[in-house]
Amino acid sequence: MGILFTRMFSSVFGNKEARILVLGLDNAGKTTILYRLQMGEVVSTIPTIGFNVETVQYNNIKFQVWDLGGQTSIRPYWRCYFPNTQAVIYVVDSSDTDRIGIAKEEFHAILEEEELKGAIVLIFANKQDLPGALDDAAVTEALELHKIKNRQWSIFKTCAVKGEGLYEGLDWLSNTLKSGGS
Amino acid sequence: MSSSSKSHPGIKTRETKEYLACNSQELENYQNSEDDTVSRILREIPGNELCAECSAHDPDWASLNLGILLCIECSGVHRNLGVHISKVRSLTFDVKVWEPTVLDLFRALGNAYSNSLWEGMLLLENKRIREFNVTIPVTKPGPRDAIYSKEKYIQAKYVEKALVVREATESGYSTTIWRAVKTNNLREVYRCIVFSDMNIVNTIFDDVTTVDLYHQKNDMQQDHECDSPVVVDLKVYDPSLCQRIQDANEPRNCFQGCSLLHMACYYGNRVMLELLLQFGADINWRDYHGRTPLHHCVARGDYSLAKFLLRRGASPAVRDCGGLNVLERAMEIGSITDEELFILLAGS
Repeated sequence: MGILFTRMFSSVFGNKEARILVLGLDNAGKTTILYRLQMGEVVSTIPTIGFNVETVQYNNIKFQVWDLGGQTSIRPYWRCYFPNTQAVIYVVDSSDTDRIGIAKEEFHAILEEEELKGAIVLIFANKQDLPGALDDAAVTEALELHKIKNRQWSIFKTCAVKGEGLYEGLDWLSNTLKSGGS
Repeated sequence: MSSSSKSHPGIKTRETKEYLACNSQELENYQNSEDDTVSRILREIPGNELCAECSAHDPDWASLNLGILLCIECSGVHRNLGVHISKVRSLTFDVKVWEPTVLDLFRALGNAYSNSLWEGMLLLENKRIREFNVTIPVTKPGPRDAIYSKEKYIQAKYVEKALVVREATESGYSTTIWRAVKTNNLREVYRCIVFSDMNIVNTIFDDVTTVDLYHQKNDMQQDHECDSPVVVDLKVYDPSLCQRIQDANEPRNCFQGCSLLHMACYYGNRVMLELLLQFGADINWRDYHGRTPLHHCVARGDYSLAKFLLRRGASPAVRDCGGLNVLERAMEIGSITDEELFILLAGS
């Protein structure tokens, strides 16, 4: 009864909860994005072996954000976190053009996952401040985002260390989730 | 990174490794097998028993292009420099990256050699060579120092090159690096890259040659588009019409417009290719005749090196100025006996 009441209360005041996974190759900037969103600061990060999880409140949505380690041997364990996920934030180091092909492969492998078929996808073309960074159009092409079918997605240029683009992305995420986009 | 930096949020490495291992036996298995070999090989290289930056013991992270081992904390700082300066990987969690050529590159470099260049000023100070009157602009951190001092040091060392002691060269680094590629001298190539302030890896033959180029400069148009259907107008670039290539009956004889990668392919040193690629050499660079390093390898019949380039992202689709791609050039020479190479080339 108590739970039911809480749920009704939440829906009246639009207090939704969402489980978000932050994925991407190692050194894409996932952890920096997580803590920039959560604390509004740039923290010194070390490679994530495992995961970080934090709650971020934004636009009346309580995001439970899971940041998973991106090293090659850790990627197979991402699937352990797939169930009940409403959205995936896929982070790309836009300046790492050598590995953009690998980023594409990992991305499309995620989209194939049965457990994520209802999740909306937000792509962050990160590290826009670095020399040689591909812009959002170039990242869209390199990741072959036009191949995405039956899913809502969007891409934003970001620079996590300056905090640019992140909240634009979260706006899209919260609006899409609120409109029942998943 | 700013002074508002906080120390590492989140996880403790050991615990999460255990957590992951609970999910599967796999993680533990690979940690105990293959990676141990990789770690052992890499740590035996002089200087590699300590982190290149803060001297912490048993470093298990690496910078692929710089050829050094790092502790996890300094690897975090290196990652912030951007991949154009340092490409960080794990010895244990990035298994696939440790190919034989990468291990050979690390054998040629290593923390001791690399630091002898990047920290040249510290060596001078240690030797108490006072006549140079060096003032060390930044202090080398220890393993227990705050991450802030590591950030400051690593930034100064690799971005500002503040500790590099440049030696005078008579002909400039871009000439020296070409000579070093010809003589397969990996350390010398690395030294030129460290000392040079320009993008020395993507210089071309024409920039450094002292002999006259075979083709007149005025033959050349800016941005000649060999891929375009109007090949007729571009006959001048067609490699099969190049007198120099014809005369010597030697497909590679004309080096005009070639990059260091073309040159390294000519000398067939795979580790040299690895070094140049790690430092951002353009794998699909086209010479005067529109030929990529892959065209050169196939012309030379070096199929093994051709496959290496393909694995590293060389595009087989590029057409030379005669309008032919690599597969078509290979067929011209004769049948391709290497099935794997055929499939890779035909896959374009």
